[in-house]
Amino acid sequence: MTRGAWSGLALCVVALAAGASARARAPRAPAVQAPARAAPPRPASCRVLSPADDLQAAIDAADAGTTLCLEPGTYPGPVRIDRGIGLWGPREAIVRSSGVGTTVSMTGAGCKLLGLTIQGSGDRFDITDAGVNLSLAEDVRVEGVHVVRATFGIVVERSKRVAVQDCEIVGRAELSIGMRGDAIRLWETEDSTVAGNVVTDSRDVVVWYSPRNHLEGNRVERSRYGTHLMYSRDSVVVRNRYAYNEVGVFVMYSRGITVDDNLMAGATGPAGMGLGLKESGNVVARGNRFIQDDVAVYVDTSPLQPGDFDVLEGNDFRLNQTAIVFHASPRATRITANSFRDNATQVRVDGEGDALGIDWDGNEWDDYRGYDLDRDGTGDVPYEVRSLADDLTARHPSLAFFDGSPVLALVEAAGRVVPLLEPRTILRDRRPRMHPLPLGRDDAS
Amino acid sequence: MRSSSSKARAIAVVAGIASITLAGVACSRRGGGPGSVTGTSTLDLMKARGLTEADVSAALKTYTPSGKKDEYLTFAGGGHGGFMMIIGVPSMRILRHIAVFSPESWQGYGYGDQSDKVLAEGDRHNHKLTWGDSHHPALSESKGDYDGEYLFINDKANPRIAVVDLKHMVTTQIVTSGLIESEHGAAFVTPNTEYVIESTQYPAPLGGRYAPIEKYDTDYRGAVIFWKFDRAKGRIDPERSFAIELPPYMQDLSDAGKLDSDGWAFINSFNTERAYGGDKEGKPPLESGASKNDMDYLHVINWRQAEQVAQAPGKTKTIAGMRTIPLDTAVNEGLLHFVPEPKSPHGCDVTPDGRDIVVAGKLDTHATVYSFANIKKLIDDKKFEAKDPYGVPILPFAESIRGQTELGLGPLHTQFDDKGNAYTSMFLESAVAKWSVKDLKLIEKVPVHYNIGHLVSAEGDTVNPDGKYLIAMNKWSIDRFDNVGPLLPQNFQLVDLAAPKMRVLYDMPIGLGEPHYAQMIKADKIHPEQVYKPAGIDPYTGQRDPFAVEGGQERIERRPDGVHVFMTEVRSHLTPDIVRVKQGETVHFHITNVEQALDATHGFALDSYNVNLSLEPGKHSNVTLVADQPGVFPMYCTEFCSALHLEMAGYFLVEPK
Repeated sequence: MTRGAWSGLALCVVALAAGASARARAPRAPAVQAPARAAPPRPASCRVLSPADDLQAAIDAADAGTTLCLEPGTYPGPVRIDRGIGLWGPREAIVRSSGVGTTVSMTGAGCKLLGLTIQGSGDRFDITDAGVNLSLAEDVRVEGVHVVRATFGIVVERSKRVAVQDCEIVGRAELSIGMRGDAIRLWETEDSTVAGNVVTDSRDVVVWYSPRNHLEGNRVERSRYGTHLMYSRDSVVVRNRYAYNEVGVFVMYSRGITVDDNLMAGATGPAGMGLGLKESGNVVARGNRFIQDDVAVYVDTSPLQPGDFDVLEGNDFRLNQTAIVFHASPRATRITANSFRDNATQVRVDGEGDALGIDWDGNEWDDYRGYDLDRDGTGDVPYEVRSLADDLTARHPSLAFFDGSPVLALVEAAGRVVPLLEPRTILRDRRPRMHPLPLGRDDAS
Repeated sequence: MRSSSSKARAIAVVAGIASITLAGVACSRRGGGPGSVTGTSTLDLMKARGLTEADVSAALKTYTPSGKKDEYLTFAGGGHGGFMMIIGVPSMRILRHIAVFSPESWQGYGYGDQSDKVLAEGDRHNHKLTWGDSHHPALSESKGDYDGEYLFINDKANPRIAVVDLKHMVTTQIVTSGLIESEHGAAFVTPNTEYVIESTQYPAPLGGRYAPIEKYDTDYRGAVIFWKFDRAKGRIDPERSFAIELPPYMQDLSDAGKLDSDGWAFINSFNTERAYGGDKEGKPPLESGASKNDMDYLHVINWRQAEQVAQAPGKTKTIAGMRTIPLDTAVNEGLLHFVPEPKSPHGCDVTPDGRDIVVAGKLDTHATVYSFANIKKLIDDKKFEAKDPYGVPILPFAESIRGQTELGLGPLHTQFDDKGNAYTSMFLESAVAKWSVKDLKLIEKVPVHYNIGHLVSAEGDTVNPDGKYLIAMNKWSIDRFDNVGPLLPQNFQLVDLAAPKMRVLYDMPIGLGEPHYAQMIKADKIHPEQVYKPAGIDPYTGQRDPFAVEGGQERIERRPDGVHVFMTEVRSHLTPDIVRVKQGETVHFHITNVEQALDATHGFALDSYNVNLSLEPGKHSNVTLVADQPGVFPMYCTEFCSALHLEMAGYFLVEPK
């Protein structure tokens, strides 16, 4: 049986146990159609071109600062803009790939690509054939552009102050994920904004070697990495909606990352995780909703640098196979005021480690069995997770069948009274909340 | 859904646990109660040491009592320690350290004339090199299986290949070519050890020339060298070796085809962007520049045909003494093709049947499985997607592959078992993924600690892999061992492949180097000689040394080239035990350990002259020195050999002029 089927089964069991309210909050089946984005308004003054005109010749003849307005119709690519020229068009104005290479390339300062549909690209991965490529560009805006069926969507290289916003990038759903390119790719790009874009059926949104970027209000669905940050410090990932990807947000070798108010739901598959932290520090994740992920948060050797500190605060963990997995005993982390409800497993620590060395405080745990005699809203005895079941299932894999079931709970209970199966405490929340946290806003989109 | 029989099994296990629990209660009552650490029952010991049932079962699978032997021997490279080691499996005991590129005094390697000569073969650019970066060992093969006769290992830093003769477990040859300046895709052998493959890592002008880095595209090149191995002589024959010039990409790991793909070689590459750094010169740093594009090129080389071309007149250029097929000739002769492969790949591993090549891009989530039959057909049909800037034809990616298996984060290297499964190291996830080669389906993963690089399963890169065991070769150990200061050991984790679910059985700290790759061979395939027979053998040639000394023939002779000391060692004396020379004389020590008893090893140390020899039974060593410092210098046996070991000594007397 596949792991997916197992998690499905476990989710069923948990969902049944959790009751109707939890089920009602779970996201629906994946088929969310992105709303069509309106093209940005037509610039007040521009030179009008029709499909009968030679687009490249018009671009070559225009002075920097000129905007060209395309009438509806199809314009043959590739198109190259090497100085501050703008292209505007309604969605019905289509620049179509010749089938070879990148369709629209832009370099220099002050270019604009507004509205328009970019259709297709070459299919070579080795030279990163894209719908739109920005290279050595500064102060460039790509807004309201619709990129369909390109190998890579929008690729930004060695650029500064670029805004990619309100674009819609639709990949090739018929290809397996490994055969698709990235929707948006920032490489060696600084101080840029990726906001309000809609990505579906693509591979990744990638931010590599790119400091100080801002990703806000994007929707990435049915893809692989919702956002992959590598060596990209001081970046902000807020109010995005990541659903049905393999990984929501993966932060790797990066410091100073803010991940707030995102939805990371339905992250399943061989690496299924909502948020992954690999050797990254000063990561703050607040107000996120992790729903129906295989692993909601995966922490591997983060933070890495001494003095760095990671914070998980006010997040909502619901219906996950495992809410948090630590690859080994974590340190320098504060996990506070989060809500853990209806997860098959709350917390797991691999490598026979524990999570006793970090600060757990004031989280809400739906399996807390303590009491609050002084009525201060927090339990009078700590909340603890013990790991008897892990040891047992490691030795007897077939026991995983009983994961989250009363049978294993019985064995655990038995284990507490006999020396052979003494459970190991792996986390202690000193002030568990007695009442649900006021979390659970609507979808981040 | 899970079958009812597995359900029944699971229920049985629960029942079993319950009975163990009850038994536990009974035992502890009998054994003096909980908390007792003086008891000796298994339960008491488990309690005292905080062990789980799983820990005990792991211990039972690895513990090897005194005198019991291991089932497999793992030959691991020592990284920039420049050596190799042999590790027993499943005990994970280090059995031997074998000096290769770095002098090592215990073995007397680099402290005597014969081993100095081996090391000097590897000198480059008139520099004496005293270290190497030994990455990938390759056991010699016959028909694609390890034959236990020889082992080859590379030096990435100073491109060299060493030959280790497993008959005596010593390094007998080092070869290097001035063609290239670094390498990584080495050592890999063809299925009958016809050739040892070595390919460059960092391109440079071929032949050791200078060219400014701005001429990277035009003047810098990679290359692959096919070193011809002469098994009868046990030596690589540089005269019969050849190379192929390659574009200035950074070639990475390689593997030789086998069975269906015999006659072909496959080499990964990265940095097809041709970035060369310049982070203080307004360019992206090398690492970032090399990560710009999404795919690099798998190099597909027809070495059998290249061997013919290399012998044809006028088809090669000799560069730094190496017959080299120029890049345009390689293209024109159809020797070299590229297939796109996921960004910055690392592993390039041919399946046991030789039909597929598994490549994993470390920033990808898949293992990509190329079909050799597809590749061959595309080449035969000349169906190319494009050519690279050097004219090398590029095959279409989608038509070259059989499929992809999604494994998770950071897949690197792949090994195989006897049941059609592959095991891939997952660097970013710190895990080993097991998957079905036939179905391209992930089966399960096991976490490892931390940052796994290579992995090795029993005979896992041959045509007949065994399964059973796997070692995860983890780069970091972080919190796994006692604190021994800032330089931490690596962590080899033994993984059980015989159980229904993979499980880490044992953590072995490697505190003496940074192994990259290893190979695990059945212990009964290795049959070294345990003494040198007859006495007087030079281990580096395998022949009786011309200066070998027999018992009763010990003497000191003065010849035109200096003083010759013919000495024997036997428990527990040096003969002669006084050597008198004059200051300024050249002294040749010829020392034979005339013993033939197992383990009766002696040493020979000479005070202040930087001499230490290891003289295993029957071994002969020569060491030459100039007695430039007058004085009285004790000499003694460094290997504790008998009750009178301390008395096994003598004097080297250097009389002032």
